[in-house]
Amino acid sequence: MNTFNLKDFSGVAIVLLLAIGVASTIATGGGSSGGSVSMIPPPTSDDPTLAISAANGEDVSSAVVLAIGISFDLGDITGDDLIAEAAGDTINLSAMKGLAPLYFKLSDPLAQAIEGCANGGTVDVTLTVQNPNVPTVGDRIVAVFDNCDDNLGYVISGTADLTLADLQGDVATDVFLVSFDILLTDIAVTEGMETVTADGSFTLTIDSLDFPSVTMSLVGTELQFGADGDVVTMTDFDHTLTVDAGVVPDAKLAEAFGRLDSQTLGGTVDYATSTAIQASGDIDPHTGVIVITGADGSSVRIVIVDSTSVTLEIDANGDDVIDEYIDTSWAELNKEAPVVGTGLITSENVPIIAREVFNAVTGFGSVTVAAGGQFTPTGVFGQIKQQAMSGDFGPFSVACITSGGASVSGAISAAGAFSANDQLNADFIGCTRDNEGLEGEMNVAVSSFTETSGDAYLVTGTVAQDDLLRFIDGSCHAGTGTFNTSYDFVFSTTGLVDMDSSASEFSVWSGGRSQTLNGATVNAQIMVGQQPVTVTRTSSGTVTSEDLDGSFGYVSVSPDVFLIDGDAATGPYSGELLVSGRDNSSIRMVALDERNLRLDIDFDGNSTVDEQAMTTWATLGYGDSFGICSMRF
Amino acid sequence: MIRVATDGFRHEAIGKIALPGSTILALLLGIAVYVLDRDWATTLFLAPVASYQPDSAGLFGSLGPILPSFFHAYAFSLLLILALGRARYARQIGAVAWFVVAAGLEAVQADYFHPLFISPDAQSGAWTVVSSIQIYAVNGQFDPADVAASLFGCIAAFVIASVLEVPK
Repeated sequence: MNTFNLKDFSGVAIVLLLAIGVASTIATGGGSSGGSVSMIPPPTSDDPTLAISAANGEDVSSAVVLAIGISFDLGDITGDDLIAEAAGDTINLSAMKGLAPLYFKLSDPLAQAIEGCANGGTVDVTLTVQNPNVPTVGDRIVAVFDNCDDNLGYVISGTADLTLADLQGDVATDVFLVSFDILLTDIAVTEGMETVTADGSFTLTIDSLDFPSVTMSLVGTELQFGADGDVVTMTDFDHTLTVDAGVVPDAKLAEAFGRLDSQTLGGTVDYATSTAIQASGDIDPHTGVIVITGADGSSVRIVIVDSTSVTLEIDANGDDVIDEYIDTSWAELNKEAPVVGTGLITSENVPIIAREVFNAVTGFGSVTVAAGGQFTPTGVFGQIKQQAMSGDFGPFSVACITSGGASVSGAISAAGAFSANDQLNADFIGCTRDNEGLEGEMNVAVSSFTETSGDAYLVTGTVAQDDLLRFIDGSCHAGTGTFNTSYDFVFSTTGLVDMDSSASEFSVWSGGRSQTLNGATVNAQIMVGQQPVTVTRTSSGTVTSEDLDGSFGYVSVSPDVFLIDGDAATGPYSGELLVSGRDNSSIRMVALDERNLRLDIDFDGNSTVDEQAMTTWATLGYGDSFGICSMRF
Repeated sequence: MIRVATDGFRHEAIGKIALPGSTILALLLGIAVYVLDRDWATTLFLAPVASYQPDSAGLFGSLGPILPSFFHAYAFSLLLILALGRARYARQIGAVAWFVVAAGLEAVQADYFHPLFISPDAQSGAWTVVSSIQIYAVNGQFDPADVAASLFGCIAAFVIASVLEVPK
């Protein structure tokens, strides 16, 4: 009789035991309970593949920051000004900017038109709507751009396809929610020497149900950008930007989650804001944390120190211990060309540099804000509009609201409105309005103009000024040159103006001296609904003058905030301007109160303050030292 | 022939029952640690039901991280000892052999060995025996405490087998 004998099977049993033992070890992960002991064959293709180290931490951080920024720019281009334009009554085919607003101005259920862009190129727009009187989910707008230049600072080609996905509230008011599914194909946006390409799809939602707080979100599965020789792909991303325009400067809150694949970096990383990013006005964010995770748990945390400085905390081996700290700046992460000058900052020339920069910044802001203000009902261009003129007109004498006047001429294509390619010229003679005085020439080429009820309007265009003198707040400046400007006059509970101007070269005169600005930009948010008027201003550029040996860069670290109180001896009561010279030498002009400021001087560019000096705005400002403005106005 | 029971015979009889029983108990306790203390989503054999995992009770406290290694080593050492049966030095061979296997499996999780296990297969997402080993080695973390727990498990198996007199 055969009997079961374990011994006969002991060899097999041993092999089986070993196999089961090994398999069960693998299946359970080997016993440890460490956080990274995931034994699931996780879809390893879903794990980030790029190992983050001290060597590439800054590049990875920069790539993520730039990609998030580009995505918001893209949302801005397609959806910006929705509020301002939604209730307008003119169709304005101004490149991609205003594509979403354009949808709400549809007049034909199915329409197709090829429009010339203001400064060359075309846009072929096809509209498919179900009911021309009622925006309906599923309505569609397809725009094919061909080198379209609408004087918005960029040229665009490619196809944008928008389908209305959601709509709540009333777009004719400030309170609504609108969502578009957007497909971009071969989009190329060229701004100066830079071209950014975009392909992919996302859902753009603009939610102003809590107006004046407006939230823009971009959610998508794949969006590819090409810029600076790199191709960056974002997948499964969710980016949200909330702008509270109820405060000045506006408060921004951003959150971003997703995955980024960079060809240049050679792999993928995951990114997430662990602390929401906060910013004010046009200044870089001042707080927030972005965590970027790479292969094997390696990571870099972007810790925002302030609106200038950023610290990168790098964990190269994924053990949750920071291996290296890298102190860097927004300028580095944004790959901005540093705004530095060629002149050297020394103990002898600090007062002169501070004076020249202050007057250049103040003058550029002052003379460039004047153009947009002429489009109010009491401005000289606003008065022409009310006369419902069209075609070539003038010159006509138009009285300024307080005293003096202007000789106004130009060409208007549509009576009672302004539109792209309108030309408006004004020669001011002793023109005063409230506390502002103007004298000299101003020529405006309109790129776009939209207005809503309550006299709110947005005008963009190119302005040429020839020695235009402006007197305000006790200071007298004259400006000569050409600049692009956007003047957004928003009426909400109190009047607010949001003005942006930029010039490649511009001359400002004040106090018998002139300064030349290059690459100058200024953003001013002006609360006009209260007295005294409050201005929040950010600036950047370089300045040269006959009193300076070389050029000096300047950039706002935090916005200048000041009152239009008619006193030339006062200046910003808060704000910080960084002035940069050769060899990283710098002066930080730190406003202490409306009369005093401190100069933190770093002569050798080692990022430490070598000397501090106290001075006053009255010392730096020329005011109306020659009395020229006092005599004119 | 009537066989008279002796103490040795009684031990052998107890061993035949108690030793396999203790391996099963050890394996069940090891599983209990995973079920009660661990994240199911990151444990291969529990992942399919991870969505049903209740809140962790933390029942095993600070021993939770090492108990599975201990129980696993104990159980498989003892099973090996039993399989070796009447072989000479069965207790010594069984315990040492499993410790070598356990320590080896733990060692491959060390960073030093990771390059050996990183290959295109590991990134393909397709499940294979090789890819599982690669994932085990690369995703796991070498922990000396696991090696120590395995050592104690093997020693415990050796001692228990000796006390209960595994038949030779």
